[in-house]
Amino acid sequence: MSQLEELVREAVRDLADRGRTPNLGAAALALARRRRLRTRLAAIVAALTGILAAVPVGLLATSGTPRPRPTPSVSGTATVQALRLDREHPFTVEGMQLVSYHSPAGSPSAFVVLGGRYQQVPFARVDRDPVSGRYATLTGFNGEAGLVEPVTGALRPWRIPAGKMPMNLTWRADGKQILLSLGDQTKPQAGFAIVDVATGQLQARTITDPALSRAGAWADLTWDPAGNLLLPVLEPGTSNSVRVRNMKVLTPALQDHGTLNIPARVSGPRSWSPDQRHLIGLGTAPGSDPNLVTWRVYDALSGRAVAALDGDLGAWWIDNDRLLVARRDTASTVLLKVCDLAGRALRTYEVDGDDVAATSTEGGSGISGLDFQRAG
Amino acid sequence: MDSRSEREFLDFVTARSHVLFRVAFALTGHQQAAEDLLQSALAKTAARWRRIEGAPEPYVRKILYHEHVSWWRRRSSAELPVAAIPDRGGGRDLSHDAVLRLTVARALLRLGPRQRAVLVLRFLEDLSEAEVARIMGCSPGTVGSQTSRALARLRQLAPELREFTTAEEVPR
Repeated sequence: MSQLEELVREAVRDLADRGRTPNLGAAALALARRRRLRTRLAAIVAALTGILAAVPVGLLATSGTPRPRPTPSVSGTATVQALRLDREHPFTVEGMQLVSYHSPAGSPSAFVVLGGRYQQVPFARVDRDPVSGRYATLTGFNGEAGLVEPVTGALRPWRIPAGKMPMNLTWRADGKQILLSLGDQTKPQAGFAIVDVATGQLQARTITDPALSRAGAWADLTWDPAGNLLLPVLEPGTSNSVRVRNMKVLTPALQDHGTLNIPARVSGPRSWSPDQRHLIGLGTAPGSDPNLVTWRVYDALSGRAVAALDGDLGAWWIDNDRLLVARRDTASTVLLKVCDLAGRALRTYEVDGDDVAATSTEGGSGISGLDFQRAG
Repeated sequence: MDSRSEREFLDFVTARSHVLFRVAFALTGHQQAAEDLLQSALAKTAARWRRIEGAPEPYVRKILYHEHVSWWRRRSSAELPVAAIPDRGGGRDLSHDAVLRLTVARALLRLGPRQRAVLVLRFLEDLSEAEVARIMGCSPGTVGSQTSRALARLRQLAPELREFTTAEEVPR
């Protein structure tokens, strides 16, 4: 060993001895629990807040056994085309633009289209208004919600009532109002708020009637295309808020407006096809395994499931007859299928890119929380 | 983690904290940063405790080094305070060697994270180039060149060290 190496050896040891050894065992265990809880909460919040695309379908299933992947009635035969996602260019396929996504490379933040490229914003949940192109956000764990500044990506927060936590966010079809479902941080009490987007004013309502409070999954309250509220009603006896029996339709003043007989959760007005004859929902179908919750196409009038979609990352309407369905293929690729109303693949694209394949040091990997909208 | 695994984990931390904390402190040069670094590495270890094959300590060390490099990258724009190392004062009652060691420690904390990690692995932990390479995820040749560059950089940062020979300068 040289003189210099010998000196460095002594110096490094001197330096190492300067610290005071703490006992970190209990603190490390507590940190591990917080991280685990945070990961689970992220999955739950994602599920409850309607970005169900962020959660693999298997995580939502009610039993512990692996779920079979639904098989489209006819498998796709078209040639697979390769596409690449990069942050410098908004990703567009079949006229549909990827308007936001999550990547472990930036977890728990999202990537949104700002200034013609994807920019990272520090929010766990973002939702774009298809009318104005503005993004609204729930920040996830500190109970904030608001609009994302279009240039800086900063949060312009709304004033959330004290003790309330925003759980879900949906743009009304005309983009003028936003519905926030509100949980209570201290007691199991349902509530919601309607935000006037232009003024930022928020009208909150707490559900004090226990019967109404128990009527359904208030955290998943959302709009229908006509501006009514849709409340998923759970199957009796289910405790995990996964299986939906149907949806109660309420006016914003909470007057009963009938029932939408669809056993699924929906993500607001965008779940409906442009002609409103069909809708995409995450749910079950009569005659199928009641625990097999997956993306399906439902007939809006009869409530009948007409197709199961082979996509664990989500599905979006291209037009009245075609959907874009996303599924994780491998750790480094995502398959995007253009499907017809029966779930048959008409075309398939294989997407890769740094964010698609990114691996987090926390153990998660791959892109999630994709959201597509019609380009232009 | 069940209660038995928790007990095992806590016993491991109690038994090995002093060794692991020395590494964390040598890497960061700061009490609080070293505690944060070690706590984060231990939390990751706890999360995978039942899946770790073999002795857990090498696993923790590996996380420590990788966390240190990635933390430094995230915080590279911010100044991180380092432990109070006394200035070299001509009138102090310190031996020449002790003053030099302080000078080296000071210069060490000004190295980049990978170079500092390589020196800590080589000279605090006495690991071979092959062992360092396994932890750092690079080739032994890279470890050799990183070590050589780190020592050269130390001599730049602390001109007093120029009187000391390096391995290349040792007569064979």
